[in-house]
Amino acid sequence: MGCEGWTDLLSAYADRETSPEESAQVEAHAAGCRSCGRRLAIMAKSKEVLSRLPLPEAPRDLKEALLRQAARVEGQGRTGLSFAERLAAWLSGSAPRYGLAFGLAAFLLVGLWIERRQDEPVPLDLMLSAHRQYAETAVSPASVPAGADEELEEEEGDE
Amino acid sequence: MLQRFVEEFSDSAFQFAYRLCEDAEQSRELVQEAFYRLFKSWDRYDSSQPLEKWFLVILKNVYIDHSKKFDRKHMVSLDMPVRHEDGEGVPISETIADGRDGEVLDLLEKREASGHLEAALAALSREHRAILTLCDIQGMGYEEISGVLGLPLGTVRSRVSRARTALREGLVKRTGMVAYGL
Repeated sequence: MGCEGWTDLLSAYADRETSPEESAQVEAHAAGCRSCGRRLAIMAKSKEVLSRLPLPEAPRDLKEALLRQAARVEGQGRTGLSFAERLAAWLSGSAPRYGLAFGLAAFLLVGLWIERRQDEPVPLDLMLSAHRQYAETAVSPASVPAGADEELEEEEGDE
Repeated sequence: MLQRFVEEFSDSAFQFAYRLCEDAEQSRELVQEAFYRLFKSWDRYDSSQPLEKWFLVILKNVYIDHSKKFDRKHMVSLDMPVRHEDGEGVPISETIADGRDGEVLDLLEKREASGHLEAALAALSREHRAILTLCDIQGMGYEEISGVLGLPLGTVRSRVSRARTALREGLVKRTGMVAYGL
């Protein structure tokens, strides 16, 4: 195995993630190979410096807000979340998708119900009563005054 | 328990988020969203499992969601396998790096080593930055990292190694800059 083949083992060794056999192999190889010895030293040193790297703390106001929310959740369960928080959760969660599906289903059901209502036969007595009402209110030819047709034709001719 | 967790872990979460996105405002959003998801699903938390690990998985998922939303063009998934350059011989950059390892070691012994390392870390891909943050900064073992990133143990091992190789190449570039007084 060339030196490149040792890279993963050297890295795992720097992390103390090798088995005792692997560790022995790495130690034996690194002792005789200057290139791998240096690589291992770089890995170990980088790891050490990174572990001591000064890191930014979470902003104070963020921490306080999170603590307040945590207290509410712990104290009162899920209901402790404010309306805005629950609304945000609803909007970001699956609720809108369910809402849309429910709305669509309701719309289809109403549509089907109307369609069925239109297909139902009109009862005979309802038809007769409507006919009777129409006959009573409709203008019969006899009730039209004489000459009304001629007046109408003149009006149409003027236009 | 939850309040104590926020008290103890919010800094660490913020630092992890900061290392992932290198932006304080975005880190704040990530942490806020991750804690929000934790609170939302608190009643489903299995107390026999470590809370820290569960939270880091949430944070990682939030980060992936945010990346998809805001950075579609340049995003490389945290779950995507990283291409291994070793397949066709040794890359030229590594050959150069081999010859400069002595300079890199000198650089790491300097007082300003942390600044150089931080810059080299920031220049890594997100996958490499994430895994080195968990491993070297958060001090997690491979088993824990495997749980957080949802990767097999062998992939964690090789990805940490690739990340270190990339970091070393970054440090080699820094030694060149130092030599030219940049």
